[in-house]
Amino acid sequence: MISIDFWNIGFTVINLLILFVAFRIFFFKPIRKIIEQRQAEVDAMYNEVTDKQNEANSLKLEYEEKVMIAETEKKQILSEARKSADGEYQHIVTDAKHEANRIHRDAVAAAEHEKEEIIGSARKEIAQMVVEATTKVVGSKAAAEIDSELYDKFLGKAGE
Amino acid sequence: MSSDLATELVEELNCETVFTIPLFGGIKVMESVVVTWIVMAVLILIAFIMTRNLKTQNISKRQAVAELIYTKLTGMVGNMLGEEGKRYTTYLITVLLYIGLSNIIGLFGFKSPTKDLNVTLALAIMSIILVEAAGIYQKGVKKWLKSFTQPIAIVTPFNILDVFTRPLSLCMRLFGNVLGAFVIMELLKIVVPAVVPAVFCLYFDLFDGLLQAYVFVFLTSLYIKEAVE
Amino acid sequence: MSTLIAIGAGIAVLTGLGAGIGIGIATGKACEATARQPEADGKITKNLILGCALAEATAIYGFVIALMVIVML
Repeated sequence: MISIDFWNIGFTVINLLILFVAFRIFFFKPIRKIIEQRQAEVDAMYNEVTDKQNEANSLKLEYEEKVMIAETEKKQILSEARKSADGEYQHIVTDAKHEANRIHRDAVAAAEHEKEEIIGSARKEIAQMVVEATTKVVGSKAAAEIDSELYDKFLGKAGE
Repeated sequence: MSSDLATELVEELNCETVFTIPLFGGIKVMESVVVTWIVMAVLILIAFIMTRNLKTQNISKRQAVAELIYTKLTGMVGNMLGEEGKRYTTYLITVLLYIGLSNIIGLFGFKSPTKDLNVTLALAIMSIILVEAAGIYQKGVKKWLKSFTQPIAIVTPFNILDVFTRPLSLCMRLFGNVLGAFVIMELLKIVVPAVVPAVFCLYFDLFDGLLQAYVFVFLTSLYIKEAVE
Repeated sequence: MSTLIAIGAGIAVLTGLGAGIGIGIATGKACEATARQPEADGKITKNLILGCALAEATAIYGFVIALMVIVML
């Protein structure tokens, strides 16, 4: 128990060194390797995820930009369309107005013309009536009578 | 009765020669060395089985336990060693596991190797060699020699004495603790043969054994840390 | 002769006195510390156990010397 033996100490030292080396080979190395490997894998995964995230972010920005462009384009097209539609509308309306004016004018002119025609024909008729009356009067009565009778007749004719 | 007890105790305490190698006039192989071989075989076998088929994903329970042991032990011993002494972690973990298993192998009917003074002496000698080697490696021979005169020149003899007292204290502490626990357990078994020894066995064999392993490694790492600073 | 050896061994084992006092003081201080900072309980317990293990060493030395005295003489 208390006795100190050189070989015993030597054996123990050798045993410990062997155990140390064996543990390095069988325990520390594989586990350290596997932990490092996992770390590397996780790092790679993390990097990949970060890359993907960045890509997605840039894509999103791009998309938003595109949406904005589309929006402005849409507005532009819409306003243009509205403008052209307005123009068309105005055009149609003025056209219609013109047409209406023309029709109106035509109608007025036609009516005037007809009126003139009617008046003309009436005048002719009156003249004829006067002539007829005159011939009638001249043919039957004396001068004074003739005048008043003629007048009456004319009035009567005219009044008809 | 008392002489009976004494002879029994001495018989238990003495380390017998298991066999002799017929070289250099007979090398005696002690029981402690043979038990050390058993301890080594068990440790290596466990390590070997635990580190089979390691994977990075979908790890098995066995691998999880192995990794837990590895990370816990490395963290613990690495913390004690500090940043400069990290490279000695593996040796100290090996020593920790060896002493731990040696102390509790008494439970399985073997004689603890640490109950033999030669084994603890060997451990302590290796520790002090490691401490001084770490100092030389870190500082270079000149500075290492100079460090003996720190903090003032007058303490140099004590510093030199430290080189011998430290391993002696490490060796005696481990040896005495294991031996003391063993003697107390034997006495207790003679006085009360049942139940009570089981409770004390839990303390003396398991707790104290593992604690002494921890203390040994703790002190060694403390010395190393001091040496490399 | 054997009586003298027994007396010597007994005196050697008196080192346990110092260890007992030391561990007692350490435990008392640990209790105070825990009372002051209950959240640091785990650390204090760890340090206490370590300190006790170290303080116990003196008693162990005494025990070893006593054993050596008995066995060698």
